[in-house]
Amino acid sequence: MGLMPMQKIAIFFPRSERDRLLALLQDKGSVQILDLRESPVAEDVEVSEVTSVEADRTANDIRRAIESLSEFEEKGGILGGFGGGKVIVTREDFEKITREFDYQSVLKEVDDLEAKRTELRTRLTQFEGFIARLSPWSALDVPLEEIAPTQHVAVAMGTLTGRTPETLEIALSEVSETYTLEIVSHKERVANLIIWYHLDEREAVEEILRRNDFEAETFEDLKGLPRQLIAQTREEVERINAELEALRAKGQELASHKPKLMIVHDYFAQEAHRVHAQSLVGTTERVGMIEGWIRRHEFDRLVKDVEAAVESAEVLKIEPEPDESPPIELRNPRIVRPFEVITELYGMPHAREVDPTPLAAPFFALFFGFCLTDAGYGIVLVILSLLLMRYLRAGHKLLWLIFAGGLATIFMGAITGGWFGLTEETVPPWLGFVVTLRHTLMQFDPMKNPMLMFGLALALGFIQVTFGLIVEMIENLRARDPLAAIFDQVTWIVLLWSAVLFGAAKMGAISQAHIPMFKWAAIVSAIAIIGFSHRVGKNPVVRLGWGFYNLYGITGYLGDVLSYARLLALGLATGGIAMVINAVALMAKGIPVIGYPAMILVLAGGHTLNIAVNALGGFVHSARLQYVEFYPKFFEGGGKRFKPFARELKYTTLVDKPS
Amino acid sequence: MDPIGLAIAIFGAAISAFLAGTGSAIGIATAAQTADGVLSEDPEKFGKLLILVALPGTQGIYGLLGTFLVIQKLGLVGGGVASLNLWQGFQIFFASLPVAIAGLFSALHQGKTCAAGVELTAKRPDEMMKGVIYAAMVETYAIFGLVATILLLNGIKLG
Repeated sequence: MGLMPMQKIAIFFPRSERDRLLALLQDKGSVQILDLRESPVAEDVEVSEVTSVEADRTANDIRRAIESLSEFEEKGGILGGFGGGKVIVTREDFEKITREFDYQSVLKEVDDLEAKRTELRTRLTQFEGFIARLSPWSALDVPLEEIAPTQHVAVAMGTLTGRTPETLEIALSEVSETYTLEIVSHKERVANLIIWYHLDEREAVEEILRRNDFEAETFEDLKGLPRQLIAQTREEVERINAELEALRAKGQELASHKPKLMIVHDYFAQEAHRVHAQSLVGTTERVGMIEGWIRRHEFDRLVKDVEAAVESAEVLKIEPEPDESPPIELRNPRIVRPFEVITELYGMPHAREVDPTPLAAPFFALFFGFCLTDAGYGIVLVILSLLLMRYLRAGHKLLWLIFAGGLATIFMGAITGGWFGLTEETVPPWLGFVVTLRHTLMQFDPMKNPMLMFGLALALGFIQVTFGLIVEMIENLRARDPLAAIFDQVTWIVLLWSAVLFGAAKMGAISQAHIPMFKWAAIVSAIAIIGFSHRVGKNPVVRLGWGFYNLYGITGYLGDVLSYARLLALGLATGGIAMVINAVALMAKGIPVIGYPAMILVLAGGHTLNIAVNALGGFVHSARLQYVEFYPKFFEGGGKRFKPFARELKYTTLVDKPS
Repeated sequence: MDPIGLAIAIFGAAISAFLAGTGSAIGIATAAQTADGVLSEDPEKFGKLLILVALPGTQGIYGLLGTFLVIQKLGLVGGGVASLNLWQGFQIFFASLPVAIAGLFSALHQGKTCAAGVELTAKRPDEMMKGVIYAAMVETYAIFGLVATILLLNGIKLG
């Protein structure tokens, strides 16, 4: 429990050995390298800025190819988005592939493919536009080149929208005696027309056309019947589509290289990362230096590794600057480790305080269980998290957290009788043992007695809030500030507990013999808060004023405890919805013919959704209770996370043994 | 037994699923539209954004639970409808309002908070959970609405 002890180090090495040293550090992944420009030695060494890295560009090219290949892949359904789709590979294969795989020719093929596809798509759009433009004229029986003005006759071809050709004709007949109007097509409010008229009447006719919003269309360079042109273009489109289809097949073929590309990408990305780290190295004429942090217990190992790999390099322990605090890594026993996720999400503790994770862990697990309160769901979560760990081949912290939450859920479900929301009425006879099991383990039914569940939620909240005060009290005592411990925490603990016990005794929940004691304890602690909670400044009026204001803070505690009522609602929501799903499934069973499949569908889909929604809700709200109600009682935070310089793999997971 | 009392009680049951569900639908739409924009740039984020998009859906579930609790209280499924008078009908109706109305507004505003969370995730994917936690703050009051409804329904005695 607590924080990982850190050691600040400096490494000196011959300048020529820089790249070898960085490669070693990246491989070992144990040192967080500091930016020397922020160190006092900055004046004495030269730090070269690395701006442009070849490996970066290669990695980017490969990434783009991977992205375009993803389009051709057979999708693994919607769930594909969740797994992260990493390639699992052994170290040996990783190195073998980076050495032997000819990624450049694949990149070139992907590039060509993409270029061709873009070109074809552009042409496709053009052709489709052409067809769309020509198709209103497909009924025309005259080749387009013949619709041209002659010596005396002008022609206007175009579209009339919103007005009927008849109204146009009436208008035209007023100014022209010789015009002819041919309606090529007329659909709803759009008519496509050809109008022939004598050149002498040109101005008048054009004026009429303009006033009627006639949109002229010209096909100057086109020859032949529109429908023939359309047919020809359609053939073109077919051909392009066939070509695109062929390219797609080609793309699918290329997509088989994707896992290898992912591996090569990670290789170059690592190299780029390493080259960028060069700007963290300080150099003089002959010597290079690095400052950094390492986990204290790894120091000896690093010394050995560096001295073995890099000639005449030296690793030294150095003292941090007075105002410098080490980066933070949480260190907990295995059983608590999964819960570090919660603290890491909130922010790291600073270097001189305790890690709140083990203090929050039991509450978090219990609250999570409270939000689900269904043993059946708990079993599902436990199995699911174990399966995922197997599948991803990594004991991810979050998965262990779900596992722990699942166990708590089984416990909470068992004592409240939640088994997939089954009740006596909905249990089929062959599941009779569930009823027996349920009855043996069940302590109370929250559906029938929500007040008990409510009381339980608030009691847990009250315990956690006062526990937070106790933690801060201990911190104050350790910081040799007993006054703060007494007047900022002990007084409150006494006040809160005596008030609660007073109320409980009044209501007859506990023995009434101690009522006066509780009363006086509450009064004394309240007075102590008024008199001593504000201990700076001499003006007694100000001091008492602040004292009263601080006592008013009791409403904050009230709000804190009430906030735990959410546990009741979330727990009942899970159980209630589970019961609704079962009820609907029973109704579905009654449907003729498809009754049983429908029932199974409702049960599987409904319970899956219910687990997903409530597990998320349970996680988020249990975390929130830690963040808003618990941590602020004693936790400051503000530490920076320890981020060692290491391999960072985007697409691959390295394993030691082949699967 | 007063049929109008029963009708009013059922109105209460209906309104909690109706209002909270409406809020959830709109809230999810708000978040989903923003998420779609992000996906157009980066489809890989689908799984991450799904959580933020789904979050305003819980109010609808709380509303449905409110409906279900009233149905259970009245014995509407499985025969044996409880007999209740006009005033008891009103009691159940009023008891349904906290989850209905708090659920409606909480879902609307959680939708906006989640949309902002989606933008946060677009720029800094690692910080997604922080957006989720903020959104959960908005949800608190729908949960309290549900708590109020549960406690109120529990307090109503049907003879």
